Amino acid sequence: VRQSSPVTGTQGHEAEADLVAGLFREHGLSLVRLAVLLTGDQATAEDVVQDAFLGFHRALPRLGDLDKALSYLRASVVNGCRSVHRGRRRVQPGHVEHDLPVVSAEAAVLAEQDRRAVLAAVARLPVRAREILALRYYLDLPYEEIAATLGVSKGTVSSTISRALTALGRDLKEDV
Amino acid sequence: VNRIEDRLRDAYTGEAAMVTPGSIDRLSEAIAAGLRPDREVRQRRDARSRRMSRVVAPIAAAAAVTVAIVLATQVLPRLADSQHSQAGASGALPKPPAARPLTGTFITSFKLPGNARVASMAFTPSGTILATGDGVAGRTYLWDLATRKITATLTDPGGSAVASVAFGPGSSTPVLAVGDGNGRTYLWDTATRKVIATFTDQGSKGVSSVAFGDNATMLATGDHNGRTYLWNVVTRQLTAIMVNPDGQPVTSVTLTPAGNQLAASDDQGHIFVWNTATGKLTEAFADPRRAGTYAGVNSVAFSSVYAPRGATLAAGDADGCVYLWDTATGKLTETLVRPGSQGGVGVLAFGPDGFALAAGRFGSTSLWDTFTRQRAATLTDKGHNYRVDSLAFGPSGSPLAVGDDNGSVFLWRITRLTP
Repeated sequence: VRQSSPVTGTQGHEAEADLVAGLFREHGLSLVRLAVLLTGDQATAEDVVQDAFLGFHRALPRLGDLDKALSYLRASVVNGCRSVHRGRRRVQPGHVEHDLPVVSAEAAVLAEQDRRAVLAAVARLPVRAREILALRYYLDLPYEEIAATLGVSKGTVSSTISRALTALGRDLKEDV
Repeated sequence: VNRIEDRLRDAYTGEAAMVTPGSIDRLSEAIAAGLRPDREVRQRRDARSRRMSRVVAPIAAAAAVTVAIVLATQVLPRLADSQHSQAGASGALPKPPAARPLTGTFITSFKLPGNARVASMAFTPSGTILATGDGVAGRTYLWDLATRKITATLTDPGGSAVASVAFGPGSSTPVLAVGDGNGRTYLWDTATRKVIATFTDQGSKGVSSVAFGDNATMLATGDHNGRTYLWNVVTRQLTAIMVNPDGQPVTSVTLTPAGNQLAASDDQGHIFVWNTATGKLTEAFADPRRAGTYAGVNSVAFSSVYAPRGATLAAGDADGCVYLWDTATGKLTETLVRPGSQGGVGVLAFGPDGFALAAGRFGSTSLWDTFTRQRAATLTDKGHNYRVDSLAFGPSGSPLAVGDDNGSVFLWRITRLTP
């Protein structure tokens, strides 16, 4: 069943643009962060998120159910990150590499080291496992929602998480 | 395991916090500009420069694997000026066979099996068979127009959805090229119904468009990685790779009848024209309203009218505008459809006379005479409420097949009225 857009005409275009801009204000930051976790690079992450929001805007007339807007955007971001061609990785001129927040003290340095070790171990996992872990442990999504976002079964989500955690545990014992 | 989960949460939180709210301001502006391309011209330019400034890296990466790639930097600056001049006719167009109004009469319709989307269609050079590519199930059906029955079903060997189909010119049993979502283009022998060659993209984000010239050896395929490949159908060799300078996915490719020029449109409102003999970028056009935004040019088509130096290139965009450029002068010669209420143009096709131009939208197809520059007809079937995804003219200029995203194909008889 096809539903035409609830809003049409010039005013409708304005309303659609406002809707998408509002969604970006609300969820843009967390989606860029999710994309950074999946691609490891903010410039690439921004490209993916830009694609996702403008793609969503284009798809609006075909989307009947706006309650699912965030799920749609999230799925677009995950899919976008997956299809980033390694060779296409872009470096934004003037883009500053992440600086360590200056909290000082050894604790911060140790925390940073552990973070690097954990993220390096995550990077060695298969792409599907990395996506599931980020949705679970960064966004804290329930299994059902992860399954719906990635188009896999709930059982796949749960077994992938359990296998990935085992692999990480094994991997990190050697690193620490 | 609990400890691993905690370390994972900490690592994610720490890494995510590196992206500060202020660091995405430019992204926010770029998206706002993409949402309102008309109102915020200045921001649009910013968005474009944000993206164009990054083209160097992918090109450098691609250079190692490409057979032929030229970054014609002198052409790129032209993108900055939208070449919008309502100068009228360029003078390059010869007279059409008959300057009489076009009209369309509904003949018949049929539906593809199953839950299908008519992603692409092509007539055999003899006009007796219509190939219809299913964008859902990955099947291409050959319809016999005399009996209106399916005579063959070609199943995608990789199981992927069909993106684009094109018949090679000439011969009684022509080859059919079928590009799919796996980045493969299969060449079918339509007599034996066997795959006789497979062309594979580098990187497999999927083929978006395939095109033959009148020269049966040259096949062009455009892909979602922003590359257009030229293949020699006889030797089955890759002869050139043309990389979109802006790195955006190719939405449509078209070859001039002589095969000397190739145009590739992209998702960001740019059209790149390449010399197929040298692999060099010769021209870059920017959609006057859509360049730099994310709803770009959906379809491009070269007119088959022979022009000594250039060719007429038509482009249909997400605003519902159809632009005509003359590749000899690089000038925009005509804007055929005013931006308005009719929805975006998803697909374009020139009739074999090079003057009839069909533009598919949501629920209807506009028919234009590019010589008189008048809209000749709007082809709408009663109750037809689906997006037109594919168009194909018969080799004599009639019928016109219109395929939609609900799996239906409508055939229209196209005639020129006597004055």
